[in-house]
Amino acid sequence: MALLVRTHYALAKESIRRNRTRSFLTCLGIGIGVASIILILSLMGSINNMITLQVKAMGADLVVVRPAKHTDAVESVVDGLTSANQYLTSNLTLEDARAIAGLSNVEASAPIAAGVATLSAEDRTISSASVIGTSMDLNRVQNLQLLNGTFLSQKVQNAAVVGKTLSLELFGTADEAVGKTFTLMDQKFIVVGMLEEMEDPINFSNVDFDSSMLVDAEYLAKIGGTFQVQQINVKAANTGVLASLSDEMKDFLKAEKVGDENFEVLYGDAISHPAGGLFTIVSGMLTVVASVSLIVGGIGVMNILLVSVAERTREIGIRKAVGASSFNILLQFMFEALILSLAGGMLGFILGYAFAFLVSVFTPFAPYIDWGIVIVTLSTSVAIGVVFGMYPAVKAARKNPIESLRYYR
Amino acid sequence: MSPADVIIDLKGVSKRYGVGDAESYALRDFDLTVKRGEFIMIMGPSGCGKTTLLNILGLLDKPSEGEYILNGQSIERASERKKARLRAKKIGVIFQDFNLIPHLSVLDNVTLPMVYAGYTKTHRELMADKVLDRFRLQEREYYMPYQLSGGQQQRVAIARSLVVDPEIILADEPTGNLDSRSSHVVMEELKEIHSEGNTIIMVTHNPALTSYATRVIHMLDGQIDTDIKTVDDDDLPQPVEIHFRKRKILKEVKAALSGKKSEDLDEEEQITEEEER
Repeated sequence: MALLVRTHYALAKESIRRNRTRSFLTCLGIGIGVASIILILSLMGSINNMITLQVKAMGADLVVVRPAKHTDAVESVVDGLTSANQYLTSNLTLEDARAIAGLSNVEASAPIAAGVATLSAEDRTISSASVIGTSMDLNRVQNLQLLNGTFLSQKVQNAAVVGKTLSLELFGTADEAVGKTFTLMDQKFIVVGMLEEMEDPINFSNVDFDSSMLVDAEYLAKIGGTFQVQQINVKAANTGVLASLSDEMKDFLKAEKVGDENFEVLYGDAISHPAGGLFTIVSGMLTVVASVSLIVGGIGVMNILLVSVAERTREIGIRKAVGASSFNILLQFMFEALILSLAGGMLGFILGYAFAFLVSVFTPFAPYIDWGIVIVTLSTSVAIGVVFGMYPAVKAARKNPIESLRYYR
Repeated sequence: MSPADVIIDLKGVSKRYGVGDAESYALRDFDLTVKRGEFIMIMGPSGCGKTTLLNILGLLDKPSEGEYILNGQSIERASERKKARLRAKKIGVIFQDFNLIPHLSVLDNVTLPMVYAGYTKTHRELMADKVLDRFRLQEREYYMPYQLSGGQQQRVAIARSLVVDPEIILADEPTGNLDSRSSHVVMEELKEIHSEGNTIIMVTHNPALTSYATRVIHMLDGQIDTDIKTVDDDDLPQPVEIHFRKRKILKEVKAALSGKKSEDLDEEEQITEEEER
């Protein structure tokens, strides 16, 4: 058997080498399909990885409350994709945040009420800036570094902390925004602090702090801002009380939101799946699109093998006449399909990661490599080879040797 | 003549094409007994069933009716796989248009049957070497078929048919595409092979070649018209026992592979080993 495999491997390799261009193009077809899957998997993995690391770096004492409804149905995903705020369905309120802050074992807690509003400074106006209502405890919960100035405080209600990118757009300065004023909903605000540029703008709060304006949520509500609370971040007193605190919060919210229990309380690794279902469904859809190109690649393999079988009808006849069984011929072509698709898979693996690294140069993503992805790639390539190689190989094996010998090109 | 010397026995073989009104017979109730060492020439007009007969003998085609006994075994119930093995090991075929694989070198073409008979690469090349040497083609080993003349190509094809040391050689007009000089060379080769005890069944249109044969069969409409033996059965070349020769070649190959010491090995065991593989 080993000899048989080796012989047919050599035969198939020979035939592929003879038609280099054709084989390369076929491999490329498979390669592009595999590459797009690799790219998606590696970027998704990198996002998850980034948040997991972040949660870990901040200590494992975080508890997060999020609305859960958007994970329920595809409709809400469509809502999320088509509207500016994907947390439309949130029914968490500032009262909830306040109540949770009052629980024992809570060291600090901060709501994240994100919205879009018009900001106007002396000479510039930004009509759709990201404004986040939160509390002064946010920088204890989430490790925010200040470039200069101070964070929000009890003393000044209309204080604001600005991210670097937004500061540049609004005030035209990347480091001297402290002390400047701007107008939000007809109220004057004063910038008291600037945030250090974030290394990884993707985080468990699902907020890009670099291009956001942080203001006090209570004050925002007072002046008529109707931002919804999309998340409540809680820092527990210590890791030992995480489970009981989470249960306590769940009980409290359950009692509060009878009939509309649209929330989830997460801690530990569970936090690292941002926006839960939405993320999974979007990446799932991308994967489906990528596998379409993989199927197209597979059809390419089938096509090229059918051509090869037709071209080599006479050769098949000769081989059968000198003693090849149908199984031998089947193996020969199956090996050809397998080599093509495996080579394509490897090419795709390299292409996919090359592209992922390229993306990582321009974005904060770091390509994520693990054995799971390698195994997925290899097994898809093998599956494609077997599935799309079977028909041409069977066709070749079934050829009648007498008719094949009579065949002239 | 003992029954063991009968290598091929066709009993009432018919080959039918088409159904109903379109029915026609390429072979009709055909009986043929071939003894080891015969050199049979089959002649006859086009469409008399010569090629069909050769295809059936070569296990490429199945008779519609009748029985085919090869080496004392009926092949009626043999599996496709078993037939392929018989083709690879027991039967050598030579065609009118050579049928070499154009993109394989002479050496690869010659080793082709051995690939399917299950020999290792070193083994294959050593044995092919010997055969090519015999046909004075050794210096052409790495030529491609299109670089050879017709006569040389046919000699490569003959080398290919002989490389696994088959018991029967089937030739379908081997000189049909050759000029008279090349024809002569090829026929001399076949004659030599025959004199070593091989059984050759050859189809031809050229009456001048019948002088090489020990038996000439004229066919007409799928049946034997005349059947003339020019050599007495007892005078057929028999001296070389096939298994003996095979053993000898194997022994030499093994010796070449291991350097020496092949005499120490049990020859009988080598054969069975090879056969099982």
